[in-house]
Amino acid sequence: MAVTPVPPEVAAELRKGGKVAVATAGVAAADLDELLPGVAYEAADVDVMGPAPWAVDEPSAVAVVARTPTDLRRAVALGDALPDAHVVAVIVLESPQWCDAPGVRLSPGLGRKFLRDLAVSRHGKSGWRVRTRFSHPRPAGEVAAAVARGFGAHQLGGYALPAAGLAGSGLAAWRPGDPGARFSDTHGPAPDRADVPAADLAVRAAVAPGAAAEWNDERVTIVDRDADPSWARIGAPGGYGVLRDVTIEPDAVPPVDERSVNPRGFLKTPAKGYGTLERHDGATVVRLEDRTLTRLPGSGAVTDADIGRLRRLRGVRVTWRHTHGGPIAAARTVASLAAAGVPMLCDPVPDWAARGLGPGLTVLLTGATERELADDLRREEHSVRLRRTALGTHGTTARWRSLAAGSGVPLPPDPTVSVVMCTRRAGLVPFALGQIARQRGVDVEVILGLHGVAATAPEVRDAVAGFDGRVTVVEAEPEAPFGVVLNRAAARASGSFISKWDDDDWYGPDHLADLVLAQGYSGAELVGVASEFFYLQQIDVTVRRNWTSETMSDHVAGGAFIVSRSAFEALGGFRPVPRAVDVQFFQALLRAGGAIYRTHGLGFVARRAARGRHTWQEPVGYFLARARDQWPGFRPSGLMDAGA
Amino acid sequence: MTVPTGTPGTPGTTDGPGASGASGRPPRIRHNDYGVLAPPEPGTWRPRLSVSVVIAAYGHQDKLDLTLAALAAQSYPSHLTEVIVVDDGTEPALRLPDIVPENTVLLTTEPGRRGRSDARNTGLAHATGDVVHWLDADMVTFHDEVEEHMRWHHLADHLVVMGYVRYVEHRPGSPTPAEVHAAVSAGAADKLFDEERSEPHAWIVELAERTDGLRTAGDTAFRVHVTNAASVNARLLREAGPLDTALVLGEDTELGYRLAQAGAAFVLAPGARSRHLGLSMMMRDKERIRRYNHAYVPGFIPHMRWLRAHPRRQWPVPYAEVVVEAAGASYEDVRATVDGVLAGSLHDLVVTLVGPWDAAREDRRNPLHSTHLDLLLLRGLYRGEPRVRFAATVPPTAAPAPYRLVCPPGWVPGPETLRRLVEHAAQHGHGLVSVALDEGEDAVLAARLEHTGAFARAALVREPGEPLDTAVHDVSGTHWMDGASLGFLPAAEAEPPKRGRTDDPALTREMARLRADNARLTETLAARGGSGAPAAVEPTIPSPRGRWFRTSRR
Repeated sequence: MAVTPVPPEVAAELRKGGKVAVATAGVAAADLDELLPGVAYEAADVDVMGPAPWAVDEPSAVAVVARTPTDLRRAVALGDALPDAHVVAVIVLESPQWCDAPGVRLSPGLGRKFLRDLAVSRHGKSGWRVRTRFSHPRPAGEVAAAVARGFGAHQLGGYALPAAGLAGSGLAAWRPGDPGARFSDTHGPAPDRADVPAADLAVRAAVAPGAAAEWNDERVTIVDRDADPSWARIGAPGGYGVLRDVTIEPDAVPPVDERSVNPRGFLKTPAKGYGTLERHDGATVVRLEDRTLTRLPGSGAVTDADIGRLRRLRGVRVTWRHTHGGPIAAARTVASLAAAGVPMLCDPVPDWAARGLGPGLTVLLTGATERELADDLRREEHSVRLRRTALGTHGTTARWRSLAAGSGVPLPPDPTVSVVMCTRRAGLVPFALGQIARQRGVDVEVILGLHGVAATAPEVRDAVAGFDGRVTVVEAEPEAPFGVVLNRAAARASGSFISKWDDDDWYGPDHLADLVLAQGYSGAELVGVASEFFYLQQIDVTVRRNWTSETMSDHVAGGAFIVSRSAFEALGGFRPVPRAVDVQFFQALLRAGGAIYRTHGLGFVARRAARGRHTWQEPVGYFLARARDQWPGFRPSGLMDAGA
Repeated sequence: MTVPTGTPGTPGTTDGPGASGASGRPPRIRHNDYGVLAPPEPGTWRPRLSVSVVIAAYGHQDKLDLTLAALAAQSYPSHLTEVIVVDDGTEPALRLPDIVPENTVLLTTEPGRRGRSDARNTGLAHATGDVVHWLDADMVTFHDEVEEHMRWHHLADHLVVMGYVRYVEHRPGSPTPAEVHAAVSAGAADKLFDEERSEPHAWIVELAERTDGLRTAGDTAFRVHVTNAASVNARLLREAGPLDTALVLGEDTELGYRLAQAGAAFVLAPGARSRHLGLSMMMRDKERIRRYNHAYVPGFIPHMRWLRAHPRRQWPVPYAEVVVEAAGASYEDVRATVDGVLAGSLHDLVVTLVGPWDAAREDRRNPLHSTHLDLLLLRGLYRGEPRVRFAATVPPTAAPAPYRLVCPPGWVPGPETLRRLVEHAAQHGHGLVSVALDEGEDAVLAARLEHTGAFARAALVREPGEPLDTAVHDVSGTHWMDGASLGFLPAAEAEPPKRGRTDDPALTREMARLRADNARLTETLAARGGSGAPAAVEPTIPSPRGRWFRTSRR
């Protein structure tokens, strides 16, 4: 690819005083001369380098050069190995359209107190460049981690336990973006920190055949990962046996970096037709008609920038001769596209690929037809099913939980959700609790706020008694403002997230699971759905509004979001006012520096009943004027169905 | 209304009527998409319906002989077939030749009532069949021509089927009726003429190519009702017909239009083959016929919008009928509504004011205390206004007008409102557009724009107890719109239209709306052009040509 050189003043700064240590990720070594004109450097590629790759002792500066934010996140996983320097630069050559300038928040306990200069600039057409200068040499990995984190909304760059070890070269993709990952050679030991090993569980690269697979640290559980057998080897005489002998299963596939390869940027109404995932000129590419839209890495490490190039496609047709890497790379490529919600049509999946993808994804991939994908709503439903399954099977979090579970390493509990549902209408309590009861894939408790309704009202009493789960009932006097009632209920919540719930709206069975999933990949404090579907009860019509979803936003549907309990508590909860509590809270959160992410709106239908009986005050024509689609009757998306 | 409370109903988006239909119900044709009908293969089914072949003839006994010889060799059962030949005053009179179908009658038109339309109407009046098949008196049909028509008619009772005609050169005396009968019987009608030099019915072929064989032709499909080879369900034809004898040319097109208003769907049957002996009049005299038709026909066919582009003209058949219920409403409210309608840019309409006009009588001594005083005032106000008519009840259909708007009194459309509303309906093929105006506790007050043909078809296919609007949704789609965005205002907020005033408040409001629209679009465009937008980040590797082009311009 054509590379934009760094500006002369940057080159001058890097040139000062000796050799620059360059860590590359996803960038060909040959491109560095063009990028860093006149700079003396020594380069190492994070995808092949060992624990001590640079010969230069005290580099004048360190530059981390990544093709995309996704590539940068692999460098972060090996941050341990990057040297210290006064000047550290991070250059990302291209980023997807939704990627804003990175914030660079170094930990106050680490490098921030030594930071003397910081500059963030656009690099080329869609890249970003960060330059830091410290009063004392600082580990370059710390800067790489801050920049990688700064591209997203996560307050913390780490992952939940287990603490990960990477034993051997080429494993950075197993823990992308995790500054806590520990890097060693294939024999161990895992480095110690305060006399205990710095990892709970390590993946280890395949050792050469015949070499002793010894491991020197019995305190750390090790999981061996086979190298991807190349098609050349499989294709050689007798080579087909390799396919039989190599373990191909989802856990053998390097995980999808869910914090950068995810549904963000999904387009509901694509402008283009179908691309084809295929082999062309010796590379894995997606082509549209006779043009190559993007060349994908042979390893299957699809990046966010690659996904960005596919967003305008209605879908991608998958052929299974697409990769030069091997069967694991092939599965990894398709799993990545699925995690990003790229709608795919698929030839029958060969057995080796099905083993790598897992049964859920395999079934989904072959289930869609071109006729269905021609309809924007059906297409989006297909995309949502793909992302859920792919992220739940192949995401980094899912992968490490699966590895840990298989190795007996202890795991923290999954996040829990407290549903706060306040109502003035006893008659709706059975309906609302029914909607909550059908939530699946999350651990839920209900805080039922009764706003001028007695807990002893028969409908309430029976519904609560019949609810299979934890319910806490909170009563409030009828004259209390809605915000006060909500806060009183929320004060009883014990979950990691608080979910606001409306008493008369419809929620798909995966509503909460989808929100928790989106929170995991977006890192936003508050995640909600796009307020798309409305059932206009008076005229028996369902309308769909045309919101952009899978995007950072300033608002979501008021009755369908989750917010982290810590953020909720930090802001003190809802304003003690009778209405518009959601909008007030969104504004407070954004002004405090928080993020709101809007995921898809297919699992939620707001009921719009007669005026005066509902918080929505707009006349029915308001919804009609803004509808992109409408159908007679109650016609939610296919994802509202429990069988979906 | 039943409101769903538990598990959602059928999810879906654009499921057609075929998918939504209850099992066992005949499929419903949406717009003109007759693709839902699956006729049986010729020769493999048992016919049940009878057909009357109606032939209007004037002169050319020799060609008539061939036409009848071919009809005598049809595969369709003769006990289900009658042939009615109408002699439109030929001298000497036409006669039935030796080779004729079993049930053939010869009628003659009365002097003083002659012409193609009269002759065909005479035949229609005598027809007893379930289906009427128009045929010209100079057509040689293939052996299964009638069967090809009839297999469609067995699937629905509101079809017009057009056969496939080619025009062949013909020399009198060759072939003979016996040769024609023999060839058609043997299924070899295509050996009778010089097929190489034959010509198709060009405009129908072009229309078919453009519209997937008429399936996507929508409101323009009626044009294929051509009386040289079309067949029509007889009940439908009697409801919509007969031919308008005031029209000397284009009369079949005009009847086709009325058939569409009665709910007809139009099928092209390429298998219903026939050969026309000699060129048609249309082919001989294309330009002069077009000139003639363009003067006479568009007035009766409002869908010919491009021929009715004049902003102020009125036509015999208006594009829309606006129904306003005057009974029970105040003079001021009704006046506001009707004045708003009459001031709109959609001028091609009539207003039907509905009320007990006969009961409204002036008290001549004490006029201010007349019963139905408000009705009296309305009648006085609109007396002499050619676009307002008075009716005691809402007419059962707006036909022949293709659209009807039912507007509640007291709601006033703006200058562009009705034009936009009807254009929207026409563009999307909606059978019903409901316009939300206002709402109470449990009901929404709406104006309704109804597509005449869609409502007629819905009434034909509707099942007992089924709401008519539901059937309309199946055959044409129903849609809701916001009244405020369209420019409807309550009478209290709308100012009366004023002549010659450039600061007409309604126009001012319309301009403000357009400005706001413009601003919104500009903003959208700007947002697209800025960050994060699809347009800004066309993710392709530039082609060599593009790159060269860019470099050379620098």
